[in-house]
Amino acid sequence: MTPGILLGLLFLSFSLILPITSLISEVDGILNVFTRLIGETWVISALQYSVIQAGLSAFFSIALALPFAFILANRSGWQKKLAYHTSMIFFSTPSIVVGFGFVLSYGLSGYLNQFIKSEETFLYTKTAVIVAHILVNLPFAVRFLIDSIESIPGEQFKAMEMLPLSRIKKLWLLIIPEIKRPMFTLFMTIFIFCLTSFGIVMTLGGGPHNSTLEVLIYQKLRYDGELAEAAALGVLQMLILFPLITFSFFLFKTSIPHFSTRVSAGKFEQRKPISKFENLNFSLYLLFLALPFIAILLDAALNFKSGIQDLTSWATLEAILNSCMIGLFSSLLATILAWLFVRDISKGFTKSISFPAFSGLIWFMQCFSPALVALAWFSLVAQLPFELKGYNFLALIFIHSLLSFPIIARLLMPVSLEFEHKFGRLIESLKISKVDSFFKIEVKENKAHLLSAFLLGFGLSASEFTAVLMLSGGDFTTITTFLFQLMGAYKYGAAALITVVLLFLLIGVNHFVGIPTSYSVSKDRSKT
Amino acid sequence: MQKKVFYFASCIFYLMVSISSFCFAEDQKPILNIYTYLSFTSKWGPGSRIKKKFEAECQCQVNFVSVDDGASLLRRVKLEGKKTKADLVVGIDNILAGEASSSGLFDSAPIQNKLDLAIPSLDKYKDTLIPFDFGWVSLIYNSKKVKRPPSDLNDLLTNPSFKKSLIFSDPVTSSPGLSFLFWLNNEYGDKLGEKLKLLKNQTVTVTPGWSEAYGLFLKGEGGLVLSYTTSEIYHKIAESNQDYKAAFFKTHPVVVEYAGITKSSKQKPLARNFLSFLLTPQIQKIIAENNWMYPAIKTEAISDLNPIFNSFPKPTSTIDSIIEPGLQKKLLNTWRTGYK
Repeated sequence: MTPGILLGLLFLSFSLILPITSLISEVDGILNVFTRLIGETWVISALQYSVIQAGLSAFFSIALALPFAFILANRSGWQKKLAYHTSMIFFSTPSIVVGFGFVLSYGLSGYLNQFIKSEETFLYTKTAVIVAHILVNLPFAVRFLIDSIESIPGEQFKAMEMLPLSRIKKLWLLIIPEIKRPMFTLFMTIFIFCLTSFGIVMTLGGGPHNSTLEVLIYQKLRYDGELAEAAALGVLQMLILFPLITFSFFLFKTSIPHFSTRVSAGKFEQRKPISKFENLNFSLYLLFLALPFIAILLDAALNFKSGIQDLTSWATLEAILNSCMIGLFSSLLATILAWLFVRDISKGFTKSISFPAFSGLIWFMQCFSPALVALAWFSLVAQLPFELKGYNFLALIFIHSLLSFPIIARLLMPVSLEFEHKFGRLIESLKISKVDSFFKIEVKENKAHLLSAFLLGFGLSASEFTAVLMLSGGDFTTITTFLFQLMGAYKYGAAALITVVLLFLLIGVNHFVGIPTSYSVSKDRSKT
Repeated sequence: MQKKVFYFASCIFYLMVSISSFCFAEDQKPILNIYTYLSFTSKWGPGSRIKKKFEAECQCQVNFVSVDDGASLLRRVKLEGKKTKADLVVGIDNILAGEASSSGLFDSAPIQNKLDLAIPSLDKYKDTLIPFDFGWVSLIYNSKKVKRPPSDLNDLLTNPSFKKSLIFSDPVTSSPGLSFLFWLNNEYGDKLGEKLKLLKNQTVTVTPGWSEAYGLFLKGEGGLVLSYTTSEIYHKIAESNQDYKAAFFKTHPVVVEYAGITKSSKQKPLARNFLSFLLTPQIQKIIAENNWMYPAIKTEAISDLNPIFNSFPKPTSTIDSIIEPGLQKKLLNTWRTGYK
């Protein structure tokens, strides 16, 4: 077994298998507890709620993303760059910030209601949760679908464009059939994310009828102190995810993706410029995304005086520092391990086995939600015969690395494959050491993508809320739990200010480093 | 090149700060670890003031560890078991006090000074838990939005003018929410399940904790919120705001907050001193005027307490939320299945 794969598996064993095993061994009679819980109506109700809102969120996210992706695919312009940048920012935005923005904009006393003088709101219902999920997932879906549409061979796309069909018919009859596999992958990704939704459900849901299983796991651990029931709910959640993931994996069997050796970043096919109508649609898309954040900005401005003290307090700086430290280490760990893992798979001579195994592993890891992993780590630490100082910090690094690993690995896999295709033989022919070739050629050539992956991991860690809330006490806060505390203390002004600073930081870092577009993945390998 | 330097420098900076925080965290003074709920230790809560005064007297360091809500305090200590670093737990309410007292987690806590309690029954758990404040659960309403508050629970649940106006905290995750559930159970008994369906029609949202509920209420998301009668005192004194008022019904559940020393504490003498300190008039005043609950000791003993604590109306009849074993779980199950 190659070192990269070995390291990856060791990491998974330590950060996932070991804690899960510890949890199962700690909990007596988990099967009995599980059987009892399955019969409880409130568990069935939470399960139904989790599945229905996740399904609807995923469906509408893709349905709304498709037209915008079609508008922007194979075109250049500020609209596309904005779409790419917003996809990264939304990925890093803590879910409770979205909930907060919703309350400020769409709440009964929200800015929108004040503007249109309405006394109705859709908040605190399933609809609000679904709309918030759409907001969070839409930019990512748009970007993903742009990449998928751009993977259609240029000549084929041109031919489609020339057909005398309406946009909707082109989309429905010609584009969607070509990208159904990535669409399904996207659906499953969003579905899993929404099924295990926590922050948005906590802020916009509420009550036993508006709770996901993820929220129940948290409540069972933190409030009821029922480790066994929390574990049983985690197992139930896994049992929902596992067959769905297995089904989708075998239905759309993954093989090594074909890709063009031409990196499509910066090169656009010649389509007609975006029309006014398309621009108007895109503006509405931007408005929908921006409204909650405009509300936060407005609230921050109106409450600047009262919020500034909290913004400059040691508690805020400590929370930001903790988030940065955890993000830095977890993302570094995940990126390094993921890169070593995927490069060994790319080089592997048994690609027919290793690539499907890799895909299966990546999918399988998504069965484990943040709440379940945090619960397992809680159990592991509790069983240690000694006191581990700073355990929550260490545990969060491993948990966040674990949660980022599949996403980063998937992001880097095509990069690694293309690199191997382009330079693999050349490097082998050079008489330099493996270490030299790794650092001087491999890392150098791929540094933009590695940095992009690192940033993504950092963003995911900084915005992660569930595991942090489950493992941290009041003596250890990150930016997400601190925001939650501020909102809970009705210090909306301070929360708004801190959110604004956080968002500007995210935008700034993304812009400063520069986000490379992904490699184009097309079916046509004839052009080399 | 510049980017590399920037990132390298950032990494070094973060490493230095984190290492220094570990280094400077050490202190020669004995440390008293106190687990309590979040609002107690917040800037506007009594925690920081009490800490300052006690540290000046005891030559020790008080370390507050705050959890989300009182409901999770006991759970956390139970989950941590013998490894808990808590010396004291401050904020266990009367609903969980019975469980806490019989859990074996808390040590005996004889207090040297004679307790002159405001309500004699407050010291029900005097062997293990000491009361430090109490209050009555009620609804607070915004008099600008709600012209006539509900007259009783039935009015709250059935009057169409209160539709989608109530915000309250989840009984699963919040002490006031649980008190509310007991209140409803006391009123309706076996019909609780049906009444929860009516309650849903009147509710804007159910939040994880009291703070979130109150925050949304102040933001204007609802006209009524579940809180304590003393919340009206807070708005009158701290904000000179007369808009927020308490609705008084026939009976109200009382909430008593207790503090106890853990058996695993390595600072028991210091912890006992802290408990005595909590019941001194000067600290009881701080608790009353910052936690916005009634002091556990008689108000006559606190010379400079704001007179509003004496003059403010008190419920004529109280529901004692001391419960029989198993009832809490039963009620929470009813809540989970009935509220839809």
